[in-house]
Amino acid sequence: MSKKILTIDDSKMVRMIVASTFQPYDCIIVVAADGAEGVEVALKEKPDLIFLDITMPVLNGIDTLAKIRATPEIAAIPVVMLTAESDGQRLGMADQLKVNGYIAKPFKGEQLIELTQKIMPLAPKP
Amino acid sequence: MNHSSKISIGSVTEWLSQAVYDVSETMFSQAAYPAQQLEKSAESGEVLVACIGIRGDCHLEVALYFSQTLASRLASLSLEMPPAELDEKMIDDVAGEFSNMVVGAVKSRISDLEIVCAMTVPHVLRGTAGAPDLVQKVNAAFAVIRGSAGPKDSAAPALTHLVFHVGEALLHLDVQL
Repeated sequence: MSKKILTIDDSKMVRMIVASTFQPYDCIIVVAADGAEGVEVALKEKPDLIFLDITMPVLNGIDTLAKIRATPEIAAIPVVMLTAESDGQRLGMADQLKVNGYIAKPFKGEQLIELTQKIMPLAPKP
Repeated sequence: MNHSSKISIGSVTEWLSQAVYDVSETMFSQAAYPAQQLEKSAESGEVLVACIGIRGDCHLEVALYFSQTLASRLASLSLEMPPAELDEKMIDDVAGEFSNMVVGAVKSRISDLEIVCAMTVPHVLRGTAGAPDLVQKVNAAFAVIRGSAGPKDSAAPALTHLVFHVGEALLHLDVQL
């Protein structure tokens, strides 16, 4: 069964890189351009994994993560922060909200695959 | 409390240089290195400017100037599309994300010194380099970042101008700590 991955990032470039990285795998990629939209999409799509940026308009990544963890239907979805702000302050806040991993921008596609495989199995596209 | 005085412009320059190198190499497979003194003339022609601020207990403002050629090339590489198929929104997005990653790396170094600060989202502007209306737009963007529409503080520190080669083009940065 296909794995569903939600990427929440205000940059189309990052959303496209994530989609392109998982293209060889049996994955469905859904996207949102800010945190508020991300929570809505997560509720609708119930993804298996979320990649979440921190610096975003409308609702930043930390507040988005708090909202995800406080919403029972989506609270247990693994979340990986994909962020240019990889300092202890930001990551400490994310840790308190039970984040499942971090990838600092700039990043290589292989880092996304490697961390994803630690969270859930990935099968090649049939 | 403003801790900007705890950080030297030399440190910021070093962190920015490393970040430009890392972002260019990792995300765009483009070699990046500081330009020589003779190449440091101001940007000219049509440019995109990404304005980003770090606020809180440290105040830092960075304006990154991309020529149209550089911005289109970076967008074409990262979106895997021919330049002719790119629209302005796509190119602005890539210039903004490049800038977000560069300044985000510097913000992380500042935060690691236990200085509490936050980074703004990039404001991407277009215009002719050096033209009064672009200067005005850049100043207005930083006024918004500072949370005030007022004029720039006349006692504000001078701008530091940095220039890097990114691939075959030049990237100009104005930095104010």
